[in-house]
Formats: sequence, structure tokens, C-alpha cells
Amino acid sequence: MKPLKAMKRHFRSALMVAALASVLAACGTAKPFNYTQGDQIQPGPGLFSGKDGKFSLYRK
Amino acid sequence: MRTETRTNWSRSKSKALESLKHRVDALSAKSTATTAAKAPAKTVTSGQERIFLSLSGQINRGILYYDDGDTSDVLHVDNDNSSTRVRMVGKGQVTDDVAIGAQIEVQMESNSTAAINQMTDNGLGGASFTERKLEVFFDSKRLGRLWVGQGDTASNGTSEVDLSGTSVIGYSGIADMAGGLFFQANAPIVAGVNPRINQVFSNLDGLSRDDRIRYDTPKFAGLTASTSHISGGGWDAALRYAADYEKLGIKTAAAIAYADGSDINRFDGQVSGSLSLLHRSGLNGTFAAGTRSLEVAGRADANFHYGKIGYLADLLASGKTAFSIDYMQAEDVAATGDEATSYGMFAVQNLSEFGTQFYAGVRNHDLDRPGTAFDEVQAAIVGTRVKF
Repeated sequence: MKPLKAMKRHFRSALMVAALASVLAACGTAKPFNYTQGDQIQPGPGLFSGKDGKFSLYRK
Repeated sequence: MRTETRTNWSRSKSKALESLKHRVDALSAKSTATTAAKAPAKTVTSGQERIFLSLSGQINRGILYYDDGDTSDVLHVDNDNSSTRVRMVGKGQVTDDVAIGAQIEVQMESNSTAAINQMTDNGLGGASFTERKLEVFFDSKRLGRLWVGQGDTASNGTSEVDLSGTSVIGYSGIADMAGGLFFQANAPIVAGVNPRINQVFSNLDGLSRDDRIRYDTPKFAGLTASTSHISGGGWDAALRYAADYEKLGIKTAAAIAYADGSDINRFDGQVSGSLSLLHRSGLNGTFAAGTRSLEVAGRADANFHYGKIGYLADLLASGKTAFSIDYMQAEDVAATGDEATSYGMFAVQNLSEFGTQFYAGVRNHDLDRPGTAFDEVQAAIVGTRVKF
């Protein structure tokens, strides 16, 4: 019984946040951007690779 | 007489033109030779057209000082907030809409802050690479992206959205800074008995990275939905949102996920999420929370709350300077009755043009466990992350 109750509670929380996110997304004035998590290799220049931030081994 | 003068003038003009032509030819030849000498030799080639292959990576090293209430020491570490790693990404444009890609990302941490501790204070790891991402993906602008292989599950990172600019040293995964250290209770530390920082603190961040198949929808007004199935039976689903409200001057990023880990013996179910707001003034705030149900009789659900306030300043021309303070409370993560709290203070200076960050941070860790009085553990770190 406990897992079922917990799952219902989780889904309710998820639904509320999803609804909030949907309301925010519906505000037409917002401009989407690509978010990069802080623990990932960050976009932008690199010390040796320069502006690209990566070494292009091959690019056609 | 007049005809002779005209002829002489014509000859002289012709000679001057000839001489000028020689000089232009000589300069042109010299320029071509110089350009050829400067042009890099092509060392990697492909028989395929419309493909892209790149190599990137970073090194993240720090000096960690700790005081566990009994002993203190200085350690030279790899900062597990964002480990030292290399990455290769290849992508081929199959049609105007569809691309196929592959990614290999591996890390090599010598003295990771996630492992180094009071008893083993040197010589940890570093002898080999460990996997992070080994995957292929199929990308369509209309249909979204399908991932196959070892990599981020749909829910990974959903507790960790953070726009403060200080997450290289402090974010909701607070145990990454000094997670390997043990709490001690004025007695010799015994591994397996004394809890580590990263055993009692958790940001319940989905199903991490794993062998899985994952699908991401195309982005709609900044919103993306994802789901993945993990080897062994776990599954998850997540929503991500990132948008800039230009009129309000507020950047927003948020994520939420449900993860079911029961088939892979982790937990019954888990909900976690995070929200981060950055105002154009530089002020920013981040909040994360989550709860996890465990399939063990008498075991309380684990949960955490995390908050951070920060400021992104333009103090130096070289790049942004970020400051933040944070607080975390995690309950019942390692055992029922545990209450772990932590607060920290951080500063990061960017050298944007050179892909370099310098950082400093301090963090206090406290654990209340019924029946045992553990001392608080203080940690301070200075270091640098260099993207190469």
C-alpha cells in the first residue's frame, strides 16, 4: 500500500510542477536558450582550442 | 626630332612597366609561399562528406583543506564537481533533417574529492579512464533525439539546474566538494562504520548516467520532455525548461523528473526537481528538492531541500565574477533518523577568452544521527578549471 501512496504523491507533485512549467512556457515573450549544466564541459573558448572551444579533427 | 623624343619616351615607359610587372610577380610568388608554409597540414581526413568530428576536454584541480574536529590536512585533488575529462563528438548529416552522431566522454580523476579521505589521503585513481558517456544518437529537427548507449538518463541533472555561475564549486550536489571524508566521533575512524559525507547527503538526482535508451522531444517554447529505459528495468521521465524572459530581464531554467529504480534495486520511486532564476542585475536564486521512497520495511523516505542565493558581477574585463551562498538539508538518506545539514560560500572568477575559471569555496557539513555525536566537518578548496 505504501509504494502506491508514495507514487500517487510523487505524480501529484510532478503534475503540479509540470503545470507550472507549462504556464511559464505559454508566456509568449520568453526566448528559449540552451542550458548547459555546470558540471559539463562548458560552451565557449578553450585555452588551446581558442574561440571554438574544441579541436575540429575533421569538418566538411 | 619630335618623333625620336616620342619613341624614347615610349621605350622608357615600356621598361618601367616591365620592371613593375616583375616586382608584382615576385611579391605574388613570395606571398603564396608564405601562405603555404603557414597552412596546417591535414593529418585527419574522412571519406565521408558532411561530417564533423571534434575533440575537447578540461582539467579541474584544486587544493582541499579539511578539519573534521579531530584532524586536519591539506590534500591535492581533482574536483568532482566537474571532473577532469576528455570528449570526442562525431556527427554526420544524413539528410537535411536527420543526423547521426556518436559521443565518447571519459574521465580521469587523480585523488577525486569523491573518494579521498582521512585514511587514504593520496594515490587514489588516476591510473585509468572511467566511463561517462559512450553513446550514439539519432537527431531529427522534427522528431527529436534518440540516444542509445551509456550516458545521461532522462532524469540525470534534473536536481542540479543552476544559473549562479558557481556550480563548478558549489551546487545541490554538495557532496562533490569533499564527499569522501568521514564524519568522526572522537574515536578512530572505521570504514563501513563511520559515514562519509557523500553517504548522508544526496540531491536524489534521478538515475544518473547508465546504459539506457533515451528519447528527447524537440524543444517547444523552451520545454523538452524526455524518457529513458535503463538496463535491468529502471525507467524515468523528465521535463526541462530554459527560457529568457527578456522584458522582465529574467533567465529561467527548471527541470523535474520521476524515476523508478525498483527493478534495479535502488529505490521504489523518486521525484526531484530544481529551479534557477537569474536577473539581468546579476542577482540569482536557485532551489532544488526531492523525495525518494525505499522498499524497506520501517525505512523512512529520504528527502532533501537546497537553496542558493548568488550575484554575478562584472568586476574585471576578463570575465564574470560569481559569488554565492547556499544551504542544504538532507534527511534519512543513509539511515532513518539522519539529519544532515550543510552551508557554504563560494566565489568564481572567469577568464572567458581562455576558457579558465579560478574558484574558492568553504563548506560546513553537520550530521545528526540518533545515538552518535559526530563532529562537524569543515572543508575549504581553491582551484582552477581549464577547458582546453
